[in-house]
Amino acid sequence: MVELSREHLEFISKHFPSPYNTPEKFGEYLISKIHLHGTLCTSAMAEVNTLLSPLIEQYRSRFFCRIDDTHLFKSPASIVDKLYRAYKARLTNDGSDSGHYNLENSITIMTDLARFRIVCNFFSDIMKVSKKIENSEKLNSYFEIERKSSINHRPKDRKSGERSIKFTMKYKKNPGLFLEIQIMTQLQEAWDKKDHFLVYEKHRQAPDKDDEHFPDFLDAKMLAMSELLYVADNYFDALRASREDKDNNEEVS
Amino acid sequence: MRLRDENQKTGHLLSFISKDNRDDNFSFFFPVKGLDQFDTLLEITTGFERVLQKYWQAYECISYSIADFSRMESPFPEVNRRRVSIFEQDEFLSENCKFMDDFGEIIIDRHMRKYEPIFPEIITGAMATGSSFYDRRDKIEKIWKDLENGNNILFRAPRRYGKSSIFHHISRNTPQNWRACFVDLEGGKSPEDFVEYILVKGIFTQKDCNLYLPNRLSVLDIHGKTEIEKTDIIRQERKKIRQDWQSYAKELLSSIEDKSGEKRFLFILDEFNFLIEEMLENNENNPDTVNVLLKWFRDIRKQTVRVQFVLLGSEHLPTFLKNSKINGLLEDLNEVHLDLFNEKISREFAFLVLSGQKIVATRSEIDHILYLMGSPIPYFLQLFLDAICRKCKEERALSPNEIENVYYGELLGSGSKRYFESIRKQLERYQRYGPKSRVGAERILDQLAMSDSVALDTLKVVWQEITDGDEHFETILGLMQDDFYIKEDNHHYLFFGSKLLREWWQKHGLSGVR
Repeated sequence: MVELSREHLEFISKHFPSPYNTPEKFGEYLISKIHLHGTLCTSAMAEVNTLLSPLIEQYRSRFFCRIDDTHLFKSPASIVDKLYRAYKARLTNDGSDSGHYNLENSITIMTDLARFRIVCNFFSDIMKVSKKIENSEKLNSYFEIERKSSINHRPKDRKSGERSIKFTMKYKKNPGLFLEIQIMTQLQEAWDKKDHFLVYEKHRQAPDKDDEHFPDFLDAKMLAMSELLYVADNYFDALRASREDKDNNEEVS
Repeated sequence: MRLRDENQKTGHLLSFISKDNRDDNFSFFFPVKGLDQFDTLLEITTGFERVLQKYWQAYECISYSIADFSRMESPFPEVNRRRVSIFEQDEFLSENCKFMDDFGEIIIDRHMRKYEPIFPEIITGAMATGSSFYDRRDKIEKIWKDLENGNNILFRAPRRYGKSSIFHHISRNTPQNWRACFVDLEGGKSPEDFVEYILVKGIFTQKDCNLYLPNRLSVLDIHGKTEIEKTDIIRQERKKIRQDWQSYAKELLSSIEDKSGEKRFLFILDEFNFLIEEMLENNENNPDTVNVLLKWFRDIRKQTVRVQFVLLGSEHLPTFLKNSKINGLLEDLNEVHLDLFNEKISREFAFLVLSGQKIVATRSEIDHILYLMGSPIPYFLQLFLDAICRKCKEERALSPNEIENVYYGELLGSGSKRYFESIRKQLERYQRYGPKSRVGAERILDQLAMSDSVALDTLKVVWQEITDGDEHFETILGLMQDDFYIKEDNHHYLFFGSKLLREWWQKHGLSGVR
């Protein structure tokens, strides 16, 4: 959870319309703006649930995947943080992407205001789920789907520790309405939850202060753990294949 | 109309959370199947937010996307599971997919008031109590206003309109400075019975009334006695009442008046007209005893300040008394009438009952139900909804035609005969006005069942032909007004005020007579 600093509060006071320009009320303003995202998220989640049910049924003898409905929306504090950083970027003219956001357009151009996560057992499960989503006629009729995978990123392309597939879903009937679906393994999710608390928030708030925040190289250790879990996921999938694929082949023959 | 599908685990949780205390919350869960329901879900959430604006200072509405209904605590840890209701979207959407504010308002309102249960139960026969007692708030307010002003009340309505239910509710929900005692006078045949019933069926049944009794009775603490000891006390008191009912009643009421202190004591006397009718029959229609009782009772009402009375009687009571040559003895009472539910309340009531039974009904289906039964007499409305719910649970879904079949085949069918027996039995009471009165009344009902309305003069001729005179014609019409919901328009044409009862008579009454 992002903690609001004095700078954030000043930003709220200066840029939010009255009476929402206070620490108590700014959240109400933002929540009312993402009303559509909530209902879209539920409908899409239900659609994906239906889509995945044959797979879940097929692998009913083991855990296949689950939909995580916690933290569906970007918190008002996180939105403010993003807006504040954009504001700062514009002021300093640093040329970064974050400079595009402002209070007026944020709701229609931020693509991760609403999201849900599909947590899978194995790497191969992620691929099956991902394929289902990409190939779904229904989802494609409602959304423009953009797929980004960080699962097999090369070291030079790694921007964050987490390895997942992310779908940015642009609702066709209302082009400013986005939804994000993240797919990852249980191990990656576990890493993400720990990293979010230990490293991510601190690094995001002050990217140039890693030396000060992590003198014990906690950030480096967390990244290494991510790689370790990546290896574990690969190995688990190989173990799975040695049993499951063999069983399937036997069934077919 | 269909049974609600509660198997869908994914859906939208609309939570209404107190701004003071997040633990004070209630939620509606709408199962969602997929993207095709996005627009309607949006209509529902916007609709509820609009309705909630009335309560914006106290509550906020937060929505949650729920992947699995059984794990709704993950996104909303404080969710009060006991106060989560499942609905289908169709329950709040009109045929053109617009949110129906009235249904939204009533469901929010009942949750805000923390009614338990939220959905009125189907009551077919007994009095509706607790939250099953529906609405009537305006009427109750008026009654208390009258009582606070020191008035005594004659509360009139035809049978099965819910008189007893409303006063049962009142007796259990008195303001702090009031104490109420409900007394059912049915079965009483004399002034002695009147006093005895007040004591035995009223005061003795309520423990906290004990302290109002005369000292010689309150020290006995009847509520702590065994059944045999109670019977013995009652036997002794009955003997004293028989010796001099007026002195006994005076002692009793004076004691209550004196011991009420700053409080006021309300006697609710139900079935008052039955007592009078029985007394007249007991005295071969000689009004003397009734006159004595009513004169005495009127004097008592003048004398008492802290003890007040509400008499519950049928609509015809004043005409009935007049025809029985009993005049001017209830005129000090404030008359209050109980009307039927209006269209809006009937619709809301049907919606809540069906929803409570996990049945999804569209507005047009609810309107169809109300159209079929005509005047929404609470008892019949409950019977009809009960029959519909039973059938829908058997069949899982009912088409409009099947709803009609329930009405004509089940509600008006032979299986429901027992529910109408008590109404039909009222005809036997009419025989006290002459051996042919019953047949005369049946012929009048025949005429009214066969035509939309019949001139008063025509009915009088029918009566004369059967009974060889016009004696008691007006009395019987008065009785029929209460028992069979017969109404008269400004042009002196009479008609059945209940479509359902008219059709029931067409089906069962006419053939019975023939």
